[in-house]
Amino acid sequence: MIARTAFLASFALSSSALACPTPPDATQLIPEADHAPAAYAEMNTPPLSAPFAMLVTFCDPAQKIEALMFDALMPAHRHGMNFTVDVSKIADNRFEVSNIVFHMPGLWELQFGAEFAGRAYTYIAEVQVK
Amino acid sequence: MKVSLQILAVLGVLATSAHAEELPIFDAHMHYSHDAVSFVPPNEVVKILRDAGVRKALVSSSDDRGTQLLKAAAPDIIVPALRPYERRGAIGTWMHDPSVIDYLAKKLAKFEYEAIGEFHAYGDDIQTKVIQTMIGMARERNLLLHHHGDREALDQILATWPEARVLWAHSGFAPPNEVANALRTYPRVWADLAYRSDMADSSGVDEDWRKAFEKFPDRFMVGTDTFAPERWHYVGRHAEFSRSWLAHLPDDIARKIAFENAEAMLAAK
Amino acid sequence: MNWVVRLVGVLVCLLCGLSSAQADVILSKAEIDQTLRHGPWPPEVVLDPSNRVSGDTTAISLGEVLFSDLMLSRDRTISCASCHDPEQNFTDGLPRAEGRKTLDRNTQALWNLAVQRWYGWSGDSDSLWAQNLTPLLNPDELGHDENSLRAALVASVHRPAYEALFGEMDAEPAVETTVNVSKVLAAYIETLRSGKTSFDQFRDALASGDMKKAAQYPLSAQRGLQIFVGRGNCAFCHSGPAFTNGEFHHAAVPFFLERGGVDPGRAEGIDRLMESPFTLAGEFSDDGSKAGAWAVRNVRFQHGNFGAFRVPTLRRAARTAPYMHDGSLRDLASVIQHYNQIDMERLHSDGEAILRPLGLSDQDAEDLEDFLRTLSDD
Ligand code: HEC
Ligand code: HEC
Repeated sequence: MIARTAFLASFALSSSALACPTPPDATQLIPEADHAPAAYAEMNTPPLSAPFAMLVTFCDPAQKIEALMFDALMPAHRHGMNFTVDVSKIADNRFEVSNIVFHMPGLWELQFGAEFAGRAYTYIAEVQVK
Repeated sequence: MKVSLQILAVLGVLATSAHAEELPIFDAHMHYSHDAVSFVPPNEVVKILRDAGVRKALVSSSDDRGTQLLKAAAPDIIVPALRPYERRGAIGTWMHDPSVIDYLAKKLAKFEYEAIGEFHAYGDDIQTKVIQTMIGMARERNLLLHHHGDREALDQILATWPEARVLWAHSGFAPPNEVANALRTYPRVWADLAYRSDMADSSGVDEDWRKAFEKFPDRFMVGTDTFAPERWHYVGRHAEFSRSWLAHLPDDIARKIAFENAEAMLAAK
Repeated sequence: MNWVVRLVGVLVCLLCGLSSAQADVILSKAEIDQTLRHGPWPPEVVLDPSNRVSGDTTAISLGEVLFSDLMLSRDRTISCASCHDPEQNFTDGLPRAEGRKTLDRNTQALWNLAVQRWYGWSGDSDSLWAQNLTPLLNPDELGHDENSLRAALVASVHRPAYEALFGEMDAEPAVETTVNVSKVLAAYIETLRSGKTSFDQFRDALASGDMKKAAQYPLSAQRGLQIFVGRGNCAFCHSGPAFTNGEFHHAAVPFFLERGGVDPGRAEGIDRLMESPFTLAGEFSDDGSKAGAWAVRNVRFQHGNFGAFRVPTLRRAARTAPYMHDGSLRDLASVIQHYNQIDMERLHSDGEAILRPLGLSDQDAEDLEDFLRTLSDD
C-alpha cells in the first residue's frame, strides 16, 4: 500500500508537468508509461451504491484516442464492481463513462485503458467513496 | 432480448458449438475439506464431477482425509495434492507452526501425491523454516507446488528451487500482462484461473487475456475452487462457464486450457 | 483535608460523572460524519416510472384490497397477506414461508420498497411489479396462471375499479392483466414506509448541531452505533439511510437446502433476470426512456454470486425475526453472535476482508443490539 502511494505521488508530479489545461477539481489520471498523453476525469463526488458518470479527457490533440476501457476495484477487499459500465465517445479525445456503481465505501482504484493507433495506454486513479 | 444474449453467452447458456459442450475439463483447483465430507458425501461429489464432464481434478483438502476418500471413490478422476495444514483457518499462520513438517512427513510417507498445496504464502513467508523445509520435501520427491500468493513469493519459491514446477493459484489474481510476465520468466510455472471471471467478457474473451493465452497456450488451466462445501454444487455451472468462454478461443488453445495443459504439467516431472 | 470533605468530593464527582454520562454525545467527529450518512429519513417519495399506476390513489386502494383477497390464489385459500401479514410487519414470523409447501426462504417484510434496484433475496427482479408476479404465478404460492388470474378478476367485484384504471378488459390479453394486477399491488406496497425512529431523531439532532437533543439518545445505543460504523464493519454493507447498499454479499450463512442441494442465491437471481421478459429493459415497463434498464443490462457475472444474498435493510428489522435468507437465526442476539464468531472458513480467503470474528464482550453485544433496536422504534 505504501509502495503504491509513493508510486502514485511520483507520477502525479511528472504528469502535472505536462501541458494540459486540467480543470482545478478534475482528477488527474496517472499513466503507466511516460509518453502517454495527459488525461483527466471530471466527476461529482461519487455516490454510494448508485450509478454515476464521469467525463474523461485526453489532452494531446496530435493523438486521437479511439476507444476507452474502464474498470474499478477495491484493493482492500479484492473485488470490483457488480456492473460493467457504458462508455461513449462524445467528442475527439473526450469520453463519457456512465453507470459506474461503487457499492461499498472506501478506496476504489480506477483503471483506464485508452487505445490509439493500435497502441494501448493504461492509467490509474483513486477515489475515496464515503 | 439482445441485451440478455451477451450475458447468457458468458453464463454458458448459449454453447457456441457442439464441440464446446463436450470439451473435457481438468479442474485444477478443488478442495474437499472436513466439513464438505459430511455435507456432500464422496459418491455425490463423484456424480457431480462426472455429470459436469470433469475428467480429472487436482484436489487438496484441509484435513487430507477428504482427498483420500475421494481418491478411493474415483481413482480415475482424482489427482491428490497434500495441503500443509488441516484447517482452513490456518491460512495465515501455518508457516510459523513447526508441527506442519511432521504432518507433511507422515502424510507423504503414507500416501501418494502429485503436488503439495494449495498453500497460501506471501512475500517473505517463503523464507520461514517451515516453508523452506516443505519446499525441500517437495524437491526430494519432485512434487508440483500449488501456490496461492503474490509474485514476490513466487520469485522466492523459484529462487529456493529453480527447477520447481509451480501452479500459480488464481494466476496470483494478477492482471493478464503480469501473469504473462511470470510465465515468461519461469518456464516451469503454470497458472490456474480459479475464481476469476475477468477473462470472460460480453464479447467472449477479454482482449488482454486473449493475448496472454495466445502467447502462452500451454500454461493456463481452469479450476472451480470449492472452498466452502456448498461450492461443490457450483462445479457444473463452472464447467459450463469455462466451456462458454473457451469456445471463443481457437479449438486447440481451448482444449489445452480445458484439459491438456494440466496433464502436461503433471507429466513434466 | 479530612475524610468527610474527601468523601463529599468523591460523591460529587461520581454524580457529575453520572450526569455527564447520561447526557453526552460520545461519538467522535468521524463517527458523527459516518452517522450522518445513515439519513435523512424518511427519503423523498418517488414514483416508479416503469409503473403507470404508481402513486395513483385508485390503484393504491385497489392494491390494498387485492393484497388480502383470496381471489389472488387459484384455489382461493391464501393471499399475499397470508405470508405478508399486515399485523406482523408484513411478514409471517416463520423461519421459512409456508405456501402450498414450505418454501426455501424467509418471507421478507415489505417496508420501504419503492424504486429499489433489486427485489427478493437474490434480486430476481428489477422492479417491484415484476417481483409481485413471482408469488402470483408460482405453483407453490398463489398458483395462478395468466388465464386463471384474468378469469378470476373478470368475475370479481374488482372489475370496475380495474377498468377505471386500465380500460375495458374484454380485449385485454391475459398477460397484460397479470402484469397490471402486479402493478396495482406495487402501487399499494410502495406506500408502506417506515417512519422516523429514535436513531433518526439522534441523527437529525447531530445534523443540526443540537447536541443537547442528541444526548437524549441512550448511551448504550451510541456505543452500539460506534461498533456498527467502527470495528464491526457493519456499515460497509448495511450502508446509507436504509442500512443496505442494495447489493449482494456473503455473510457466511450456509446455503444448503433442507430438501437437498443448495440455494444458489444471486447466481440464480441473475439467471432468472436474464430469462425474464418482465425486466425494466422489456416491453412491459411503462417507462419509454427505459431509465432503470442499465442495471439488468450491465449486471456482471462473478463466481462470488453463488450463495450471495441481498443485504437486508435493518429498518424495522427488530420486529421481523427470524433472520437471514433462510430464517436460520432466531433473534437479533443470535445474528450478533453469528457475526461475532463468524466462521472464516466459509469465506474465500481472497474475498472481502471485512467480516472477521469481532471479539465482542457481552456488554458490546447488548449495546449493538440496543442500537439495532433504535432503527425499529418508529
Ligand atoms: C407463501 C408465502 C408468500 C406469499 C403468499 C407471498 N409472498 Fe411475497 N415473499 C415471500 C418470500 C419467501 C419472499 C422472499 C422471496 C425470495 O427472495 O425468493 C417474498 C418476497 C416478496 C417481495 C420482495 C421484497 C423485497 O424486499 O425485495 C415482494 C415485493 C413480495 N414478496 C410481494 C408479495 C405479493 C404482492 C404477494 C401476493 C401477490 C406475495 N408476496 C405473496 C413469501 C410469500
Ligand atoms: C459483507 C457484507 C455485510 C456485513 C459487513 C454485515 N452484513 Fe449483515 N447482512 C449481510 C447479508 C448479505 C445478509 C443476509 C445474509 C443471508 O441471508 O444469507 C445480512 C443480514 C443481516 C441481518 C438480518 C436481517 C434480516 O432481516 O434477516 C442483520 C440484523 C444484520 N445483517 C446485521 C449486521 C451487523 C450488526 C453487522 C456488523 C456486525 C453486519 N450485519 C455486517 C451483509 C453484511
